[in-house]
Amino acid sequence: MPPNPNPSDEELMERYRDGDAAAFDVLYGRHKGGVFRYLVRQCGNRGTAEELFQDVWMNLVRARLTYTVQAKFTTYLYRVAHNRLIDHYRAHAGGALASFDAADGPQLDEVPAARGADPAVQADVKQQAQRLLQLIDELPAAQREAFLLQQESDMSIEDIAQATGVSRETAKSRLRYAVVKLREGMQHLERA
Amino acid sequence: MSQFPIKDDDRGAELSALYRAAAADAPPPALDAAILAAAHREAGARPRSLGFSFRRTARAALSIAAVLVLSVSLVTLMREEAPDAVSPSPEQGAPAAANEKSLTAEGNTDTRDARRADVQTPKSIGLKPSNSSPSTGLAMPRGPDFGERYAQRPSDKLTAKVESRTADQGSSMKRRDQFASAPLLPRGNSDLRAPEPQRQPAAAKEESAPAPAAARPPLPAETAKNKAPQGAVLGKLAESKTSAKPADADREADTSTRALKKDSVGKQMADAAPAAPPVSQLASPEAARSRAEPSAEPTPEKWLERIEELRKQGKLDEARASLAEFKKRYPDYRLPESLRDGIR
Repeated sequence: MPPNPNPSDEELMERYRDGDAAAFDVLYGRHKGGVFRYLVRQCGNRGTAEELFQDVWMNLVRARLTYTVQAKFTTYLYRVAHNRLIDHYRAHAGGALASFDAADGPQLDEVPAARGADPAVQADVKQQAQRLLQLIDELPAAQREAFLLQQESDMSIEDIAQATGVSRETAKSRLRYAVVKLREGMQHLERA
Repeated sequence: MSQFPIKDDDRGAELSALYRAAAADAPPPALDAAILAAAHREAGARPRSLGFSFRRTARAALSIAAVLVLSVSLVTLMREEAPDAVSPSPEQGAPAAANEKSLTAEGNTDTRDARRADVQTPKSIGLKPSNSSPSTGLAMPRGPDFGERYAQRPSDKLTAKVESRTADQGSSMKRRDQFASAPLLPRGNSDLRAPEPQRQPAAAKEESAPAPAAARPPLPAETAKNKAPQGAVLGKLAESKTSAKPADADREADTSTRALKKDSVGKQMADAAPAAPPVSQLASPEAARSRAEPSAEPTPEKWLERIEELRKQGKLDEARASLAEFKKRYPDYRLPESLRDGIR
């Protein structure tokens, strides 16, 4: 039987578990950007993100022998990344954990206004993108994580909930708050 | 309500598009290379690890199998050779010696009964039990040094008749030497009977194993005189006793006593046996009878040698009779080629 020309993530991970190193190359190529950006946005420091990024993948490599397909590979991968990030927060940025402990996050009316209301900001796409990244950085960590997981790995709310270890409603709420804040911030930019 | 509010409306889609346009970060190539190299290393290490583990497991299994095979082979070999190696353990010999001592100390035991107390199953010394009918209660004694020495005495028993006829002095002396080398047993007081020793059921069964010459019924005089079951050799001795002159018996006893004194082994035994009867008792017909009384039967090898000897001497009838008795006694014993087809 000829090999699948476009194997799924799960299939690749199983092949790597069975000793196929090339499968890992494909898998790594598919997800390295999303995981890296997720980590960069979440920890706010590129150097730290690189360190966490390496840890995440090495954890994946070491745990390959026990890997079984129980969920989407992306869910598994970002669960590993999430756990590593929580460890990092505990060690270096305890304040970020507060947002993960909050069940649903702040009320919508408590969302601070986006600081992007600077009239000097140019309205081109590049500037809008930079403004969006700035807004993302200003989100609470849990909401940011929900947004990033959806954007980087195209996860559903259920997958986000599974990857972050929270209920579906919590994941949905976090994602909702994140989008609302970003939307308001971008609208404010347009108005300006 | 949609699960993806960002994508479901235009604003959400615009946010996604804007994010993808902005998010162009990627890990540095060096980091990629390091991670991929580590992943390849780990992937390559696993099969090696499994292979090593397999080899190690196989090696351990082979070692265990080899040990098992060797052990089973050794045990099988030892069991096969066990019948040839008549080497009773000290535990087996100890009760016999202890019984001897107790009988000697009491001084009121019957020699035959004392010997019967020593009876051991032929199987326990590597011989197969007899299937013949029990008649005499005599069987192969056993114990340290006892087996081999006692084994000589039935040989005398078998050849006593022949030797008495041929009056072969050399053979007689040899026989006396053998007798002198036999362990000391309480002699005399043959009319005194020891209490019947308690025997194990197996021992009682073994006791019923007959002597080779047991097929011949004991003489009436003998049975009248001795209550204990006696072997055919005793009958033979009774025959010789009735036919031979008493002086001959005395002379033989004296010769035997002299041989006993000359023989170092016999001397040691004499020293070690305070209850040994005086020479006068040995010289008496009673002593001579009890001395020559069979306490055991020859080993199968000795028996067969004797049959061969009879055959060579041309005494085919006796050889046949002895061989027939041997076959009765040891039905499963493998006869030598020369005797396998009978005496011709």
